[in-house]
Amino acid sequence: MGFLNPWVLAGLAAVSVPVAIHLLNRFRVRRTRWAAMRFVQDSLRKNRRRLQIEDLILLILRCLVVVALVMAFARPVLRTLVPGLFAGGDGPAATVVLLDNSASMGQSNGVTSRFEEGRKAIRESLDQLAPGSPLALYLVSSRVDPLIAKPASDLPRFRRSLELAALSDRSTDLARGIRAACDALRPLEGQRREIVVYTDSQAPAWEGLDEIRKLQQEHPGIVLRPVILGAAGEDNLAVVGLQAEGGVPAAGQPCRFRVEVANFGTKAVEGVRVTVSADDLPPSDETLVARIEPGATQSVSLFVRFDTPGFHSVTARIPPDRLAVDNQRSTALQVVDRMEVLIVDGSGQAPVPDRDGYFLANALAPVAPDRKAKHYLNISSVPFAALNRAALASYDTVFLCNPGTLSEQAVAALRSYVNNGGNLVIFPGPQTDPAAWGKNAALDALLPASLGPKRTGVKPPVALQSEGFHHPVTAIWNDRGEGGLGAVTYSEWFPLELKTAGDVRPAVILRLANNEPAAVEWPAGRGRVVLFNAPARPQGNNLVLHPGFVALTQRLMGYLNRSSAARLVLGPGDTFEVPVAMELLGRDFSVVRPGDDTSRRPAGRVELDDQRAVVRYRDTDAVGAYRIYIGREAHPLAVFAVQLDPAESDLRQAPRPEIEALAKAPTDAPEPSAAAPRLQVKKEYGTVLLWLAALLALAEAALAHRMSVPR
Amino acid sequence: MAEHSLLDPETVSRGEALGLMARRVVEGYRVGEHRSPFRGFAIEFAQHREYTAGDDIRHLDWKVLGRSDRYYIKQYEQDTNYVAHIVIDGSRSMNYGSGKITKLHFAKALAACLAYLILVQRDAVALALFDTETREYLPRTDNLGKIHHIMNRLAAFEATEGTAIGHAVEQISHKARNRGIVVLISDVFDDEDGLTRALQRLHFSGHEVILFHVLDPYELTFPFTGTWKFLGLEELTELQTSPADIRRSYLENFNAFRGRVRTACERYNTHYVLADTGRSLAEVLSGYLAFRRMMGKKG
Repeated sequence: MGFLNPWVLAGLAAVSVPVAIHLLNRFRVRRTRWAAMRFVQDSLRKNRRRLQIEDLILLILRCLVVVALVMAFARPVLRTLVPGLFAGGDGPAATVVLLDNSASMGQSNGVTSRFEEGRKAIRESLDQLAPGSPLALYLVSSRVDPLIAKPASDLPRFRRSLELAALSDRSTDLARGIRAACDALRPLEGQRREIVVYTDSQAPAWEGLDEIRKLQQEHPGIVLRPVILGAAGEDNLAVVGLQAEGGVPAAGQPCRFRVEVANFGTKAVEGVRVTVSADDLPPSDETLVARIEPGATQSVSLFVRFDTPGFHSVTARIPPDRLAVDNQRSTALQVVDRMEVLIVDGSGQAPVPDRDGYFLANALAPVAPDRKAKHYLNISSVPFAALNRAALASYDTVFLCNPGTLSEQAVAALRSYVNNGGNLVIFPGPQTDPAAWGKNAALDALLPASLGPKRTGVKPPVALQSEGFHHPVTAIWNDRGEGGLGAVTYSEWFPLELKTAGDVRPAVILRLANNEPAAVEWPAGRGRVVLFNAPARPQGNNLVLHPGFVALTQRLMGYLNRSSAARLVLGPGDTFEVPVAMELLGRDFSVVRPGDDTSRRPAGRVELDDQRAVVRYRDTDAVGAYRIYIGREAHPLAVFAVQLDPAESDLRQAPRPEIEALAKAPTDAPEPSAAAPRLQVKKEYGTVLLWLAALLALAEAALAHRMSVPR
Repeated sequence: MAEHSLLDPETVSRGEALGLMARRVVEGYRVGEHRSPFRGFAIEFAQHREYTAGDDIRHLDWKVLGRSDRYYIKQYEQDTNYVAHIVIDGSRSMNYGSGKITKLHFAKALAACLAYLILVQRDAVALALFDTETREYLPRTDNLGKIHHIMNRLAAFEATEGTAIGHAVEQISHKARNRGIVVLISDVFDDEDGLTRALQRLHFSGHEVILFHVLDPYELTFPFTGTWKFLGLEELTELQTSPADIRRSYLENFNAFRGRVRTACERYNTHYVLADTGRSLAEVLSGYLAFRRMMGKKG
């Protein structure tokens, strides 16, 4: 127990005031001659005892009012012992203060955020600092921002830097900050050195705990002191996923979005209203999630219709809670008016129904001939001979049907096309020579799998898998209600042998029932390459004859489009980059950031990069939708979204003993009074005492009124 | 000059001034009046009686005097013994006054006004001042010329003793044998049984009794704040207290006392009039006289 304003206690002397007034009233006697003495005498005789008691009670009440008021202004507090933070009485110590400014630090207790709590705790600790202690200040999230990089004995600068520190929407990696702090303290060997970490101790923030322990071992002279802000067990509901689903988002068509809401709390939450809205307009769709169990994630589908093609943002929202940043999540996408698709087939001048791309073209545009012109997929066909001449860059997706041996120019054109963000889908056929393809290193490097020697006449034919789909394109058939592909059989196919390239591994879209891959895909450059194991004709398989083939091609187009659009969704701090028309080179662009009104901030200039005009924007710390404009254009040149790491929404703390043990790790540093515990305010009683004083004053007034005592 | 300003300690302590004040108050009251509430003359002749000192010589029977050289007074039916006895409490308790005017001042002024009024209407008046005994007694007179004498006696009186209202009234009742009006002006801070006995005696003697209960506004409201020491006017006690603490109890006691006095008055057909010294004299007087006239009309 203690007082924040102990000097106010001198005011307790004011207790003597009511006593003095009481006594003065007794001694300041006026005299009068009086006739009606017997009535006064009678009254005195009857009331003497009551008067004495009431006088005493009144005096005590008045004294208590004074005491309560003085105590209230002295601000009594309950203090608890917490470990000392900064070096105490053993002289100066070089200290690096790490303040966690990740998104989870924005969690509020209804009055103040964890980040503010941390800032306040640092301010208070500065008062205990040994004179001459050099201090450095780093903000730590997924990146380290050194506000004062090297420890310096400049307290005013430290205070200014602390005030300027701002919360970010990034995730946390405390190990990175501790490593930077160790680097900053390394040159100061021979001095007492400390790292004090102010964090909400969110479990993911300590994922690098092993690395931290290793750093402690490497720097035994540095003492590490974690200061955990707030208590564990805060409930939190968050939008952890928002992405477009289904086919290609097209203007005037409803586009389905999957919204994932996670309950990171310890109690089930019922009746969660989820809304989606496009371009910061009012919600276009909403639903109510009946119940989300603790630790569970619930997905809902909501629809948005875009009136115009171009870049759009979509935001999903849930009701507000203590952590505001994850109550909404934005994504960006490019709504197309039409997608350009090129089918390159090897059937030359064959009648149209006999061409290799005939079934594919009909599956891609399954509408009557008179309506094909209005269909969102504009299909063009060229023979392989024209592949070299085709302007591939103008197509969103290129299909190769029954390709034979590809010329070097053709392979180079395809590589360039894919590297620049194009999508390539290959259906090998009779003209395909796996051996020749294997020898073509450039082509082989592009493909997610090597083609094995063709198997023919397999009896009985092998069916496609009917369950256990893992790829987003085919996951729909995990639901039996959506039909299945089990009726598709193969008697001829090219075995696909999956490849790896560094960390990149192919994803299997489809498998045969014998578990051999039937279609695989992987990213190549900024585009994607999909490889099937059989031709897009009813030759040795009946896939193209199955109704599911239309759905498969449509979903594949949607997937490839979204993969392109994935470039529009970034993490906090990532650099946004988009190629633009060459004529915009050198023009200034502006940006409207999340939370801004419509005012545009100058953001940079269109740069030249690898013969392309590119817009680059790096200041992406805040989550939400960003709009990039050129000049005074009404429509944005590009829209992208920055999304919060879902791990930041999980507010559960790492096991406290494990974190606190870091401060007890054996070090070479002298065990100083630096670790001396300090008193921290746990509870204030000022307000309670003010109320008590008011109540006592009320009681005094009531009693005095009852006694007809003038005050 | 306003009526209230007529009454001040200087006025009351000088007979002439007291008389003048009484005249002004009464004249002011009589303007426009045609009938006195105290009128006692009757038209019917009753008898002769021998002249005694103090009789108005206007009632001498000159014919008898001329024939027999004897002094006889003509007496009429109701005139014979209808005398207004004004009885004033002159005890020390009447010396209290929260302002400049004490209760005794007020009582003297009231008595002066009544005496003047009665004499002006040619009724007889007798004056008695008492404390534990009858200190002053002015026999009956219906001679307006004697008013100065009455005023001088009133003005000269000083209160020095306690109260024994029962004993004093008994003495006076011996002197007022015939039926008449007894105007008792007192604060009645005495043994209440004594008052009851006095009223009883007067009532059974056939007197019409009027009690002017003279009280100071401070006695009626007890408005003191802070700590006070009360020094008894009649008793030698001193009491120190915070009056605010006992105000409620005091007022209960005091109002109960007034209630008992009124009850005694009602029992013996006595008119009770509260004479609050905080109010103007004329207000108290005219209030009562108006009431009396109204009662006379009913009778």
